[in-house]
Amino acid sequence: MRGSPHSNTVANARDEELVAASGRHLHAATRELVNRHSPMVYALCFRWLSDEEQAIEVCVDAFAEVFAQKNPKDAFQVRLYRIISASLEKTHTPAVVIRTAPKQRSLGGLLSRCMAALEPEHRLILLLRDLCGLGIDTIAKVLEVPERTAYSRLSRSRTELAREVARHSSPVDVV
Amino acid sequence: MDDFFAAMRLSALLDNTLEEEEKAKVEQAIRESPRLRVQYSRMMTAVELVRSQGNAEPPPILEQKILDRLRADGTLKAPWSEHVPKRSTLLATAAVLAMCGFTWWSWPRTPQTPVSPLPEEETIEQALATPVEEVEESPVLPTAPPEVVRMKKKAAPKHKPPLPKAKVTRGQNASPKPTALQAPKAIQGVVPQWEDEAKTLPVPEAEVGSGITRLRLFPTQTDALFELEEWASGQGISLNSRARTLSTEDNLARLEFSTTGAQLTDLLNILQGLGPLHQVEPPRAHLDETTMVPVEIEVQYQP
Repeated sequence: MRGSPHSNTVANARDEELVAASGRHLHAATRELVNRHSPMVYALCFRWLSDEEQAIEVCVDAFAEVFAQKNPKDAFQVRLYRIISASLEKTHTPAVVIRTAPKQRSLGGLLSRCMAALEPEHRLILLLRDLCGLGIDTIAKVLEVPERTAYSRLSRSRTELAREVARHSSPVDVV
Repeated sequence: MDDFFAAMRLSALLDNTLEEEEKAKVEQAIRESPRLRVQYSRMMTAVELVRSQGNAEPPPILEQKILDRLRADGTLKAPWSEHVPKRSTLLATAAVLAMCGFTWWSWPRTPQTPVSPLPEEETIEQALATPVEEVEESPVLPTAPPEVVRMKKKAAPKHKPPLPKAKVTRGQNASPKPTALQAPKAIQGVVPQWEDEAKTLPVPEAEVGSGITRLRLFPTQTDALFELEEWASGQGISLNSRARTLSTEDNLARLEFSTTGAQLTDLLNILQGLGPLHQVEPPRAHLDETTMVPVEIEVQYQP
């Protein structure tokens, strides 16, 4: 349905409107939801897993599961990231590889080393907030914790990451 | 603000989620504490590092793989299926079509007959110029006098031959509709059916050859009987109850009186003017003007 008069309507629709339309087997709505969320979901999976194949597999499973849910209570985004978070936490893969351009490889390596040193829950909330751009209220729903807990956890995660960056980097790396 | 509490709010300061008053206090603490400044700077560097270096471009096959998986799970239909009705709709449509087909099949067939063309429209002038046939409700025939009618209501007649219906042609030059007492010329020559039956009525054998002149009148006027009584009264002939009998069963009035030959000739002329006259026993030829002759007149009204 791309290019049709409905394209703008679909693109401007909220997630929940698209979910309702997707429930009526409207192809465009489902595709828009996938289009809208798959890049960030993939980035999160890839940063966590450091493997393209595994990241794609987790993404595909997560979308299949979230579309299969009947009568969901939470928003589509919350449900999707909750599924992703649960899947990533089960992998216990500490390595976080940042694949960047050769000139920036040192910064990517630094970030990878620093992230690997963090606790999974700290790493996850950092990625949800600073990589995926989720709000604190959404992160709280995804992690199923109070907002103040999410605030303090994010603060501790950033403090830990800053400490690790300071510990693993030279002045040249950071500049 | 204490450095410990200010350090706890560095993350919120980065996200710019602090209220203005609290934000001012934290910024004031950062300016006053070199340790907080370093800590805030490192945190900013780490967050920028994640935001700038963390993004990863998804492979082009990712979206297609997700959609393929959704199609395999039945969550996502093929694009063309958006325009295809659901199974229930298809079943309902098929049922309706089957009902229509059965109704068409079981509907009784009528042979196709060619439709005759409509006649050309008649103009008003043509309609006025064309004679119109009308059927009168009753012929202009005499009916029984009032006393006969009154008696007739008490006893139903045994024999009522059907009335002949006369056709009157009316058109552009049609004559005015005739009244009941004045029979039109068109029907004066018509012999009523009951007259033929009355002609065949047998005459008592004892009266045959008795010299009584017997006449049967089939009047065309209702007042024929009164005309006769008036004529008799004018001739000085008394028609009392004995001389006059009425039979409601046969619509028959019988008058018995005696006349001279001259009166009889006059009577015959009058009777012939009142309607068809049947002479059952014609008057004898040798009658003279003075000889009294018994006369019996049967006035046979329309049954």
